[in-house]
Amino acid sequence: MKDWISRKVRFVRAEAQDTDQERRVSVELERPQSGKFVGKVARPSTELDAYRAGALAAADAVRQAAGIENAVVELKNLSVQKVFDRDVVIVEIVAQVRGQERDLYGVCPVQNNPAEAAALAVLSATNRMLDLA
Amino acid sequence: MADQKFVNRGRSSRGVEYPVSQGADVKKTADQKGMPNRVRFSGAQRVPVEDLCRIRVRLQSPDGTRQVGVADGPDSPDGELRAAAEATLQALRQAAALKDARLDLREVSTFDAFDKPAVMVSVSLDMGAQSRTLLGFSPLGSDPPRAAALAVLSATNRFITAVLA
Repeated sequence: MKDWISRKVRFVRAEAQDTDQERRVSVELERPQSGKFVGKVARPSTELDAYRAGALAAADAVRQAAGIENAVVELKNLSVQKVFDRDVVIVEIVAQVRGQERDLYGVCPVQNNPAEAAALAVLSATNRMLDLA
Repeated sequence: MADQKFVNRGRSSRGVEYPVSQGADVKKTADQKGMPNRVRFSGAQRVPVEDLCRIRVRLQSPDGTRQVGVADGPDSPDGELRAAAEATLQALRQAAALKDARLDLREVSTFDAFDKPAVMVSVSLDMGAQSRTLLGFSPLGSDPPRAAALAVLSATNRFITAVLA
C-alpha cells in the first residue's frame, strides 16, 4: 500500500520515567538502513514538564538522525494552546545546518502522551530543513 | 529570477502595508539542496477587487514549473488568511496532480504564540477510506497571506513529498 506520508525518519516511541525527583524521557527515531537514534533527557522534575522533556529528547534524536556534521537543533520555545477546540503543542526550534540558522515551528495535537506530542511537534518543525521526510 | 509582480507591496485588510512575497524561491538555502520532491513558496499577492479579498499564491514545483492558485474571501483579516490558505491548496493540487487523494481546507485561526501573532491551519486529507487532519503553523509576521500559505505548506509538506516521490 502506498505510504501517503513521507517518512525518511520514523518516530518509534517516546517513553517517560518519572521518579519523585527526576524526570527521564527518551525519544526513539528510526532511519531505515541507518538504524535507530535515541535522544535522552534527565532533569529534576521541578525543572522540566513532560512536554519540554519530550521536545528536548526529540531534538537530541533529530540531531543524531539528521547525520549532518555540526548540526545544531535546540528547543527555543514550547507552548500548549487550545486551537480548533483541541490542545495543540507548538514548538519553536533553532536549527543550524551547514552554516544556516533558522527558526522552525512545528505543531502536534495532544492525545494521551504529552512527551510524544512534543516529540512529534519537533519532527514537524525540523523535517523539511533536516530532510527527515 | 524573481517575478517583479510578486515583489511589490500590498495593503492588508488591517490597513497596514506589508511586503508581498519575500521571493523565497530565489534564495538557495541549505534545506533546498538535494531534496528533489519539495514544492516551494514563491509569492503571495493581494489582487485589488472591490468588496472582496482576492489572494493569488504562487508555488514552484521541483521541476521548476510554477503553479498559481487564486481564491476570494470576505474583505477582513480572517477572510484574507482563509483566501490565502485556499489559494495555496489550489496551487498545491496543481503541483501534485492529486489523483486518489483530496486536500481540503478546514479551519484557519489566529492566536498569540510565543508572544507573537501566529496562524494555524487545519487541512483534511482524504485518501479513499483513510482520512486524517494535517495541522500547520506559521508566525503571522508582516505578511499575513504569506504566513497562511506557509502554514498550509507546513501542514502538507510530508504528504506532498510522498506524492511527488
